[in-house]
Amino acid sequence: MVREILGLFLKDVRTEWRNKQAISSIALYLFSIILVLYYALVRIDRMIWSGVLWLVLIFLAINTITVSFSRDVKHRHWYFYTLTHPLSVYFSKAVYNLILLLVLDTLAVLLLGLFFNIPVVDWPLFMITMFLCTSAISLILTFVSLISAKTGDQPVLMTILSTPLLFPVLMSGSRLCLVSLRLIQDSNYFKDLLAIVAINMITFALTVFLFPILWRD
Amino acid sequence: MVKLSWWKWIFILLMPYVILMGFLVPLGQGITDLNPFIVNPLKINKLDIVGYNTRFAENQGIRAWLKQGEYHIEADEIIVRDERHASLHFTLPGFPDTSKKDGDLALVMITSDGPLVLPSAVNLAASKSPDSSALYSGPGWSTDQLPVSEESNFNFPFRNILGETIRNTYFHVPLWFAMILLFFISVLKSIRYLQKKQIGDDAKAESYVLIGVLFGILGTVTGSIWAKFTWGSFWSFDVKQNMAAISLLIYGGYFIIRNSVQDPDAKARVSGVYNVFAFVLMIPLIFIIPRRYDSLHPGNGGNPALGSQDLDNTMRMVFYPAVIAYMIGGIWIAQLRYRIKLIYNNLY
Repeated sequence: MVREILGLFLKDVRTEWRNKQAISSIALYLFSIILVLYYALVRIDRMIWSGVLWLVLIFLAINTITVSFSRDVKHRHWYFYTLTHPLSVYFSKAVYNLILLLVLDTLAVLLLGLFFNIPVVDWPLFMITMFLCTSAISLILTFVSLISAKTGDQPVLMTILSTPLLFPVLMSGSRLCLVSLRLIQDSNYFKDLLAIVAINMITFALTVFLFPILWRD
Repeated sequence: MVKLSWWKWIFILLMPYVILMGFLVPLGQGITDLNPFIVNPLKINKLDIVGYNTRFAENQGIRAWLKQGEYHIEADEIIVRDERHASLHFTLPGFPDTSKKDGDLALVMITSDGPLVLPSAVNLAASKSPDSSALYSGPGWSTDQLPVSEESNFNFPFRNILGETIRNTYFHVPLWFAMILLFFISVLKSIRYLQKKQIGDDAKAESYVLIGVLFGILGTVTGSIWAKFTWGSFWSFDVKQNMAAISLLIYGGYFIIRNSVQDPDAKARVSGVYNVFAFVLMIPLIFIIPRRYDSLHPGNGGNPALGSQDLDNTMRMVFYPAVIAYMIGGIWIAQLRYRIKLIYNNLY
């Protein structure tokens, strides 16, 4: 199964490497949105920086992960279905999305730091928050993108479904981000970390149970 | 004669009981206004009070005390103007507690209708006179047990901000309990569909979600009307209000999925999977995340939960039947909706 996951993962990486479609379009999007922000806001203080970061992250995540199942042509799903276990398909996609999103998040933070500044004080907390939130987001959105692929690839469906489902992650994550910027004092912040870890585990357990049902047509 | 299951008779009996008791049982007596807010030691202080549901003129033997900690002092004179207005005259011998230079005093009254308590009623002003240290001594203040009995009449308790709106407890709170139950039943039906592939289970799940969303909308509406009268605005971005809105959005997605798939089997499978996914992700949203935030709701941010302060024994007699009635009512409505859907599908 690990070999299956690795194979499917490398297949996704190789497709991406050949046409560089996702990464280049997302990088273009990131760059243009930061230019728009520069002209609209001129200067970003710490309070707005956190909000801007989260908005950029959500839209990056939704735009990146929407295509993760609809990019493969329909009959290729059949092909995977006959060859591999459904869960290895899911995990290869989820791991691929996680790594892609982590790269893009780093890029987003670096670009924000290049054009404005990075007001993060507590770096370890910030990195842990980013990692946990990104993994929760990629687990949830990978599943939602399969749902939207099964309903006939309506791109609007992905946005409508994912935003409310992501809300618990975003609430705890943005709160932790504010703590790491030292904008709010909270000595109990590890409870928020625990909440995100719990959401990760719940989503993981759910998808192990639900993905195979949804996968077969 | 209509033949009904036994649990439907419970609903038929309980629902009128809840509505009648909820609206007709009177509120207990309370104090709505008190003037002035500040009392001075060594002077005669006249406090004008306005009561609610009180019968000062009919009652004999009204007594009143100002109380701080275990120290209290009785009113010299009580002048009753009418049933709701009275004037209390207190002569304060100094400060009760020598360690505290000022502080809030509670007003305690007994009438033949029962006790009346207004916590933090007045503030004892610190004296500015040079020999004020003589004031900070105990004599004159009594530490005897107050003759306040805990007898409870058949009344809903009077709470200062709530007033008559306390009756909304029987309509707003049970709606949420019933909503969670309906969503839970629909998840069970969805799981059953995913195991057994009977299309009827999917239709049942849809009906339960629909009625659950209806209950959620009703809960939000009753809650925001209540909020208007107690917190001051229909929507105050309280964390529980936001979470309720988000969970309704999540279930809105359920119907969007159902409308966007044509094939009935695929529709049932995708929406069933989404139903389970959404319900489980809703659990942290409702039960975990709100605990980390301050809320105006009881049970959050230092406010007491459904304890003795909010629910006294008279209220429990209506509240628990209300919860049962709403749960049964929701299940009944969902079943009726499922049958209507069946008839509709057979006709067209």
